[in-house]
Amino acid sequence: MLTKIREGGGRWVAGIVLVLIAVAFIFWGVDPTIMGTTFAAKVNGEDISLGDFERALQVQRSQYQELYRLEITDDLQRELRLSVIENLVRNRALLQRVQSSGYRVSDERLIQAIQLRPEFQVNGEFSLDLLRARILSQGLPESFFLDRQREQLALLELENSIVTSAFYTSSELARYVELYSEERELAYALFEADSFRDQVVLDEADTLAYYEANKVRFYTEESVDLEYIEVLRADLAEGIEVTDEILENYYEDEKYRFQTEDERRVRHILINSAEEDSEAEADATEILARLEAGEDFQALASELSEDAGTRAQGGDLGWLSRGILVGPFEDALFAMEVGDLQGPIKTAFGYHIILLEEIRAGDVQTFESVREELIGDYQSSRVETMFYEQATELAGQAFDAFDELASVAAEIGLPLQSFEGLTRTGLGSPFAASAPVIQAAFSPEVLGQGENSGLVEIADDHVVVLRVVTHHLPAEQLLDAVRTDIEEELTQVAAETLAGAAAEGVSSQMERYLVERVTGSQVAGSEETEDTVEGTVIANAEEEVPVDSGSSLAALVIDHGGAWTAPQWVERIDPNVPTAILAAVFRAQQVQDETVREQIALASGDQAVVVISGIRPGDADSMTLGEQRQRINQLAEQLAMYELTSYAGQVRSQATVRIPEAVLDPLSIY
Amino acid sequence: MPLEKAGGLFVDEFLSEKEQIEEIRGWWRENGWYLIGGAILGIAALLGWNRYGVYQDTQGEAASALYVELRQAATDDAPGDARTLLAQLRENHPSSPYTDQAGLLVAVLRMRAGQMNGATDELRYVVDGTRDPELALIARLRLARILLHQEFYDEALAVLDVDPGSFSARYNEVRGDIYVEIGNSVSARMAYNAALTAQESDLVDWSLVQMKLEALPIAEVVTTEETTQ
Repeated sequence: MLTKIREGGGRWVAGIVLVLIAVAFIFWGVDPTIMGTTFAAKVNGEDISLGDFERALQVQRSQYQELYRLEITDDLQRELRLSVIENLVRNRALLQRVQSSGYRVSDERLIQAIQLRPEFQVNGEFSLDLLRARILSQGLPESFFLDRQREQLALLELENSIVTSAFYTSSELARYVELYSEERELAYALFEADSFRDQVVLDEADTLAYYEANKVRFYTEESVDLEYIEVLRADLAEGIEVTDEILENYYEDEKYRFQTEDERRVRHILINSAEEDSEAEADATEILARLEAGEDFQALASELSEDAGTRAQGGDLGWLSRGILVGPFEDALFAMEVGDLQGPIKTAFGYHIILLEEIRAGDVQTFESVREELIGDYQSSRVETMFYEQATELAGQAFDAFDELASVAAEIGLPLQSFEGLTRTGLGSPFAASAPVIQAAFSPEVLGQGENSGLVEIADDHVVVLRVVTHHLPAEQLLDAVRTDIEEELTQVAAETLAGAAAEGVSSQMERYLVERVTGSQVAGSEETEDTVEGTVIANAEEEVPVDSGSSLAALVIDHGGAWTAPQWVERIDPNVPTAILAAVFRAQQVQDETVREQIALASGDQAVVVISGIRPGDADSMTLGEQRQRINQLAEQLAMYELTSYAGQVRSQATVRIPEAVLDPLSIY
Repeated sequence: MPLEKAGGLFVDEFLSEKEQIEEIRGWWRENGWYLIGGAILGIAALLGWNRYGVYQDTQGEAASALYVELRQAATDDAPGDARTLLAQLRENHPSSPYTDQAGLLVAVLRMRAGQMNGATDELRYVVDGTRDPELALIARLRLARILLHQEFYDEALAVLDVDPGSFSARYNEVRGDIYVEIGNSVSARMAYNAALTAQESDLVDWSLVQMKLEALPIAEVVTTEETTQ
C-alpha cells in the first residue's frame, strides 16, 4: 500500500505530512534555540515549563537576597536553581501520584473550597468577579486554573488524612518527657582565662621563638599597586556646552514632543462598494442632494449608511488627526471648512459623504517656553552618549597601548590615577564595588603579563581601565611589626593554660570536699543520706574529711582564681548556665546517685569543673491530662510531617526525572 | 496514461486534471474503507477511554464522600459508625486510597479506645491491601510503634524489616526504641546512629534521637542473653 501512496496519492501524502508538521508546530511550539531546551524538567514524561521554573526561581532569589543581602555567585545560583527545580519536580511527582492513586475532588468540593479562599472574597463574601479577575491577571485559561486547584486540593486531602490519623502512644510520651524534662543537680567552678591574663609574664625568648616558628602566619597579604583611568558619568555633566544654536537644533529634532495635532470631528455616510460602481455613486449623490436640501445628517446616516460601525452613532467618526485615514478621505477632510459637506468621495471601502463638524487647532509650544526643559534633556542625552563614547575610546586606546596607561591618559585627557596595596580581599579599596576590579587586577593577563585590563564595569555609570604597576608577594614581616599580635596570642594561650591548671588543682582536691546539695531535694535511692540534718542532704562523704558546708569548697575555688556556683537543679535549657557546660553535663554518662566530677574545656578558652550530684528524669504523670493531650497532639503532628516529607521524597525518588543541564546553568539562556 | 509513471511526487504535475481526479478516486476505492474503519475504531477507543475516565472519577468521588463521612464520625466520637463506613469502603472500593486512609484513621480510633489488637489489625490490613507502596511504608511504621507499645518486640522488628527508602531515619529511630526495650544497647546505638547520619536525618526529631543515644548505658551492660524475649 505504501508504494501505491507514493505512486497515486503523492500529493495527498505530501499534503498530509505538511499538515501534520504544521499541527506539531502549533501544539508544541518551535524550539526557540536549537541548542537549548523547551522544558525545565520532565517528570514521568510530563513537562515542567520554563515559565513555571523562572517564576519560582524569581521568588526564591528575591527571598534569598532579602534574607542574606549578598551577591549571588554562580555556584550559589546553581544551587538555588537545583533546589527550585527539585521542589517543582517533587511537587509534580506528588501530584501525579495523588492522581494515579485515585484521590478525586468533586466539582462541589472544588467550588466550596474556592469560595472559602480569602483571596476571592470581598468583605467576607465570595465574589465571582474577583475570582475571574484573579484568573485573568495570571493569564491562564479558566479550565487550567480550576484543574490546578483540583490537583492541589487532592494533595491537601492526602496531607490532611495523614495528619488526622497520626498518633503518639503513651509509652512514647513517657519516654519523651523523661528525656526532655530531665533535670540534673549541678555545681560548678568556672575559671575564665581573662582573669588569669594579669598573671602572665612573657619571656622575650618565647616571643622570639614563637615569631620564628610562626613566620608564615604573619606574612603580609599579597597585594598590587594599580594605575587606572576612570570614566564617571557624573563627571561628564559639567563639561557639556549648551549654546542657543545647539538648543535650537535640538528643538527642531524634538519638535514632535511639543506639538499637538490639528484634529477634526467628522461624520460620514458610506455606500459600500470596493470597485467603481455608478449605481452606488448615484445612490451617494442622491443622499448628498437630500442633505443639501436640508435633511438631517444624523438621521440619514442612521437610515442609509452602510458602515455598521458608525451607523448607530449617526455616522460619527469622532476626533481625527492626520495619518489615521485612507488617503482620499483625509485629503478631502483636511481641505474642508467647518460645516462643509462633501461627497461622494471614493475610497477602498466605497462612496463617502463627509460632514466636518468641528476643528480643534493644533498647538505648538514655543522654543522659549520649553527652553529649560530642553537644556536638561539635551544634557542628559549628551552625557549618556559621551559616557559610552569615552568608555569605548578608553577601552580601545588601552587595548592599543597594551602595557602602559600614561599615553592613554594624555590622549583622552583624563587623569592617570593610582592606588597602592589592593589585596585579593579588597581591603580599603577605593572603588564602590571592588569585586570586578580585583578580578581584573589579579587576572593572568594583567597580573602575570603586565597588560592593560579591558574595560572594568564597576557600576552602570562608572568604568575603569587598569594595570598593575607593582606586585607585592606575601612577605615576611619584622618582629617589631608583629610583636603586639604575637604577645596578644601568647598571653591568651598562657592565660588559658593557667586557667586549666587552676581547674585541675581544684579538681584534684575536690574529692576531699563534700558538695552541699540542694535544700529539700528528693533524690530517689539516696537512703544513706537520709539521716543528715533536715534540709541538707550530703552525698558521698569521703572518709576522713570533715563534713563541709560547701563554703570552704567555694573558698578553695576562689582561692584558685575561679568562681563557684553552688549546687542547683538545672534543666537542659537554663539561661543562667553557659550552654557548653549544660551540654557537657547532660551528655555525661548517667550514674544514679554517684557524684560525677568532670573538667570541661570551653570553646572560649575558659575552664570549668562540674559536679553532678543527682539526676531526675522527667515524669509525664506530673503533667495534667490537658497538658498531656496538648503535647501528644503536637508530637503526633510532628511525626505526620516527617511521614509526609518522607512520602514525598520516596515518591520523588521513584519517578523518572530528566533535568536538562541548561536549566541549572546560570549563564545559559535556554 | 500518456506518461510513464516514474514514481515520486512530481509525476502528477504532468497529469491532466481529469486524470488526477481519476487517480484520487482509484486510490479512495482501494483505501477508503481502511480510513473509515480506522477513524471509527479511533473514535470508539476515545469514547471508551473517556467513559472509563468518567467512571473512575465517579467511583473516586463516591469513595471520597464515604471517607468524609467517616472523618465526621471520628470527630463526633462515633467509632461504631466509623467502622461500618470502613467496612463499606473495603467492600465497594477496595483499591481506593480513601479506603487506606479510612483504615489508618480507624486504627487510631481503636487505639484510643484501648483496643490495641484491633488497631494493629487495621494497620496490617492497610499494609497488605494498599496499592500505594509509600503509604504502606507509613502504615508499617505506625504498626511497629503500636507493637512496641504492646511489647511485641520481635514482631515490631519484623514489620520494619523492609527497604525504608526515604523513611530510613524514622525507621531506624523506632528500631532503636525497640532495641532499648529489649536491652540490646549495642544494636540500639547502631540504629540511633544510623538515624542521625542518614541522608534523610532531617526527617526525625534530631535532638530527641541524640538524647536517646546519650541515655544509652555504656556498652559493657550488654550480654548475649539480652536478645531473648
